[in-house]
Amino acid sequence: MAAYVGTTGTGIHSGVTHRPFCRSCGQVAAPDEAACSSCGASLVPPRPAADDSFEAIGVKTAGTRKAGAGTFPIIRDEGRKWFVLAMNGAEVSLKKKDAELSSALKPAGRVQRWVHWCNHATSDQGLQQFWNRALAAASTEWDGRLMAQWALSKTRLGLLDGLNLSQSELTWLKIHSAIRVGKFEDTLHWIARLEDGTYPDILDLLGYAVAKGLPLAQAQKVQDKVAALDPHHPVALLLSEAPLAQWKDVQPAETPVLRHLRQAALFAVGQSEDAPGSGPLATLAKVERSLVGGESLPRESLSIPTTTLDLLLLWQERADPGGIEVRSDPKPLDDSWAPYADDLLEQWSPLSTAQQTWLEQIIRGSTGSAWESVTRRLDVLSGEGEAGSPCEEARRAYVSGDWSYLRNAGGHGEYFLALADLRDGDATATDRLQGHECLPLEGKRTLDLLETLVAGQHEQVSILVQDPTLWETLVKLDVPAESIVDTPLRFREWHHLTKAKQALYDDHFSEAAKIARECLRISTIEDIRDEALNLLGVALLSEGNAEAAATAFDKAIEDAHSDRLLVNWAIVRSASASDGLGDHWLEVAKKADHSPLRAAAGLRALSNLDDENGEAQLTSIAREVLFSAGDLDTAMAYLPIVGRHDSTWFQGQDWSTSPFFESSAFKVRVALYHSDQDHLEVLGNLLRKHPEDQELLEIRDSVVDSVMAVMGGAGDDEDENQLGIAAWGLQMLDVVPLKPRQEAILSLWSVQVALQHFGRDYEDDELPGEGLLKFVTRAEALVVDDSKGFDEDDKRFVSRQAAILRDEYAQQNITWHAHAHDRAVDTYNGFIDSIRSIGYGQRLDKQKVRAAAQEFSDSCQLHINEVSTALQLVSDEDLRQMSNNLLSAWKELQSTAQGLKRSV
Amino acid sequence: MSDRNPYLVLGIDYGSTLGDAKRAFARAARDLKRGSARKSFERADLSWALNEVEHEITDPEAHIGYLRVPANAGLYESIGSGLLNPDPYLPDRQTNTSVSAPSRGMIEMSPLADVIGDALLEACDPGVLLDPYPMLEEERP
Repeated sequence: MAAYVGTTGTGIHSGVTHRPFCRSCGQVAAPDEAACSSCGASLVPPRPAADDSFEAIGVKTAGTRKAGAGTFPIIRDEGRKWFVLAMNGAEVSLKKKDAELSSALKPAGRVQRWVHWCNHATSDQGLQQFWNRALAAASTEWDGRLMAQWALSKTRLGLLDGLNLSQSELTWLKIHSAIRVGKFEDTLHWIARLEDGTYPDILDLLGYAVAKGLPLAQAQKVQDKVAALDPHHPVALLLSEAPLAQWKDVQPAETPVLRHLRQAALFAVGQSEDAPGSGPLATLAKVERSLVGGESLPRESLSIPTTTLDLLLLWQERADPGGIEVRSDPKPLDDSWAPYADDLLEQWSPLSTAQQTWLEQIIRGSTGSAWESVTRRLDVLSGEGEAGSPCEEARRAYVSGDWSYLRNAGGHGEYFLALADLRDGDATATDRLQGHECLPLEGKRTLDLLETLVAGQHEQVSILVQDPTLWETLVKLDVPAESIVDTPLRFREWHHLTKAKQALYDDHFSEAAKIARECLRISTIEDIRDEALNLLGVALLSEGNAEAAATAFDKAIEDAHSDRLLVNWAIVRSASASDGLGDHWLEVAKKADHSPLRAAAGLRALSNLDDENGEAQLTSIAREVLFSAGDLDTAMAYLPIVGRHDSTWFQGQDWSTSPFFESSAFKVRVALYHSDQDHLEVLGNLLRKHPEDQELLEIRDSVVDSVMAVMGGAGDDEDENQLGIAAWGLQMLDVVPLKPRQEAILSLWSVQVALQHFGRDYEDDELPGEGLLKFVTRAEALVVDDSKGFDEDDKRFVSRQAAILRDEYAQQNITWHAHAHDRAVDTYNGFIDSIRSIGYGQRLDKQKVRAAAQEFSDSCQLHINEVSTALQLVSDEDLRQMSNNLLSAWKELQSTAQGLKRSV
Repeated sequence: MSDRNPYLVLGIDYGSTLGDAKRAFARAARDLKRGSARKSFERADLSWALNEVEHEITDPEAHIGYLRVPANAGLYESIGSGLLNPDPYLPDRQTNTSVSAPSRGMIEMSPLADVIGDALLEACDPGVLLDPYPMLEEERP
C-alpha cells in the first residue's frame, strides 16, 4: 500500500486533507485543471470584473435624506430605508458619500455587493430582499457558490435552496450544513446519497463528525462511500476495522486530526484482529456502550497499552482508580493532555504508588507549555518544589512532625497545631480551626459535623467516618457504641480492633477478649478476623487460659498467616504443650518469610528438639543462613546441621563464597565437617601462617579446652572411645602449635587416657605401644627447659605424673604378660595332653614335637624381653616384685619347653 | 517465654521505634507519679521494658521472645487524606478547569472523542474545515 501522506492537492490548511475536485459533480480533478473532465464545469472561479455601472446602495436613517438626483427607496428594513443610487453616468454627486456608501462600492461584482449588504440586514425580511437581489443578479454557478458560502457561514441553511447549483452539489452542501449544526444522522443521510467516489472531502468531514461524537457504529453505514474514495485514508481504515499492519503504513501524521484518529484506532485494536467482532470497531463500540451505560471500561479487551488510553482510564475512574492498572510506558504527551493530568493531581491520594509514579513520569517528561504549570503543581504535591504558600509550608511541617517550626510559624502553624490536638482527642481544638484560611472547603463541613458530635449529637458519626483521618479521633472521643451501629462495616471492624488492642495495653484483658469476639462476630474478612483472633488469643493467655489462647491462634493461622501470627502461635502453643516443644518453632523456621526469623526459630527449635529427624528438617534453613548475610553466631550454630545431616550438599559447596568464610572460626568449623580436610590440620596451618592471629589463638585455646574437658571426663562412660579421645589429643600435639603448658598437659593426659583404654580390658589382645612413653618424655623435657617459663611446682607435678604414667604403663604391660602367661601354660598343658593321648600302635612325630617346643620357647623369650623392659620403668616396689615373679614364671615355662624338646 | 512483654508494659505496638518507646516510658512514668496510670505497674517494670526494647531486641521481626500485638499493624493505619491529613495545598491550576464542559460532554459521549480530546477541536477550526469553497476566499479582491 502506498504511504498516505496527508495533505495533497489544494489543501486549504494543514489540518485537512483536500484533493481538488469538481464542486458540481464531485469528481476528483487533476491539480491545476481548469475544467472538470467529467462534466465540463469550471474548477477555478472567474475573477469578477469591477462593475461601477451597477447601482450602489446607501442607508437613510429616520429624519435624514441622502442627497442626490435619482435616488429612491427600494428596501425597508425595520424602520430603516435603503436607497439605491444610480451610478451609471455622473448624475449622482458622491462628494458626500458616507462610510457605508463608500464600503458598498468596494466589492467588485454585483452579487458580491448584494451578498455583502446581506450582512447589514437587521431583519429576516430585509435579508430576504437583499438575498433576492443577489439571486436576481446571479448569472453563473460561481455566483451561487459565493452565496452558498455566505449562507453556510451564517448558518442560514434555508437560503441554500433555490441556488442555481447542481443537485449533487446541493446535496454535498447539505452535508456541510448538517455537520455544522451537529446533525450527524443527517450528515450520514446526505453522504449516502452522493455518487460513489465523489466529493473526497467527506473523508475529513466524517473524521471531524466522529471526533465530535458521531458513534463509529453509525459512521460505518457510509463505509462503502469512504472506501470508494480512498480505502487507505485513516478514516476508511478506522471504519473498516483495518488490521494494525495497515496503520503502520500511514506516515506519521502531519495533522492532529490524522494523528488522533490513528491513535484512536491503534489503542482499539483487539486481541485477535482477524476474528470477527474483535476488531477496533467492535472494541470501540463495546467501550462506547460501557461509557454510555455508566459502566467500567472493558479494559481487558484493549490489548495494546497506550499512554493516552491509560491516562484516560485513570481520569475516567479517578474517584476510585483501584482497578486500573497502568500498563503502558509513561511517554511524554502533548499539551492537549495536560488538563487530564491536572485533574488527576487534584485526586492524587486515591492513586496507587504505581499510578502516581507513572503519572509523574509523564508530567515530568512532557515539555509543552501547558505542562509547565502542571509540573509546578506536581513539585508541590511531591514535596520537591517550593511550598508556594504558608499553608503548604505549615502542612509540610505538620506531616514531618516539625512542631518547633509550627510553634514559630504564626497563625498557619497554630492551625496545624490545633489539628494535632484534635487528632489526639482534644475536641476544644475545633475552635482554633474554624474560619482559618488553611481550612479547605470540604474540611469546613467536616469540622461543623465534628462540633455537633462534641456537643452530643452522635447521629453524625456515620457521616464523619467517611473521613478516615478522623477515625482515631472518634475512638479517643469515646463515641458511644450505639452511635456506630449504623456506620460502615469497615469502620466498625477497625473500631473494634483498635478498642480491643487498647484494652490489652491497659491490662483490661476481659474487655479486650469481649471486643475481639464482637469483631469476629461482625467481620468476614480474613485479615480482620485473624487480627481479632490474635488479640483474643493474647487476652486469653494473659488471663491464664493458655489452652483457649492456643485454640484461637490455631484458627488464626489456619489459612494464610503472617510471620507475626506464626510466632505468636508458636509461643502460645509451646507454653501450652507438654511435649514436642521444638515442633512449633520448627514450623516457624520452615514457614516464616523473614529469613532472620526463620534462623532464630530454627535455633529455638534446635534447643528443644530431641531427635535427629527434627534437626535434619532444618537443613534447608541452614543452607540459606550459611550463604546469606547474617550474624556469625547463627551461622556457626547452623553449620553442624548441614555438616551432619546434609553432608553431600556440604561437601559440594564452595565455602570460600560464604560471607562468613573470612572468619577463621568458621573456616576451621567447615574443615571439621569436611571429609577431605582435617580441621586440626587446617587450624595448625593457619596458626603457622598467622601465629599472632588472636581469633585463631582463641580457637586453638578453645579446642584445647574442649579436648581437655573431654579427657577430664574420660572413663566415666564404658562405651566411650577413649582411644579416639587420646588420638585427638595426640594429633593436636602433632599438628597444632601449642602453648608450652598446653603441650605438657596434653601430652600427659593423652597418654593417661590411652592407658585407661588399654587397662580397661586385660583380655584384649591390644597392648599400649612403647611410643606412648615418648609423649611422657616430651612433657618432662618441656618443663626442664627454662625458656618455657615453667616453675618448680610445674616441674615437680610433671615429674610425679610421668612416674605414675610409667608405672601404669609397666603395670599394664606386666599384667598383660601375666595373663599371657596363664594362657601360655594352658596351651603348653594342652600340647602335652595331646602327646599323651597318642594311642597304642600310633607313631609320635618327634620332629614336629621338637619344632613346636622350640616355637613355644621362642614365644616365651619375647615375653621375657618385654617384661624385662617394663621392669626397668617400674618405680613402685610391689610392682617390681610382681614383675620379677612374672619374669621367673616365664623363664620356668621356657625351660620346661626346652626340656620337652630335648627329651623327645 | 517471659510473662512480661516490654511493648505491652509500655502500651505501644510491637516493633515500635526506640523513640516511641522512650515517649511511652516518659508518659507512663508521669502517670505513675501522678497516680493516674491506667494499669498497675512499677517504675522498675517500665525500666525493664525500655531496656529490653533498647538493648535486647535488635530486630523485632526476628526476635522470638515476645508476643506480637498487633499482628497486622497495617489494619490500624489511617490511610487517605482528610481533615487531619490534608492534601498538599496546590497552586492554582493554569490549564482549563478540568476538561472544558463541552469537551467533558463529548468525552462522555464517545471514547474516540476521549482520545481526540481538546486538541482535535482546536486543530479543526470548523470555519475552515467546513468551508466548501476555499478558492473563493483566495480569489476575493
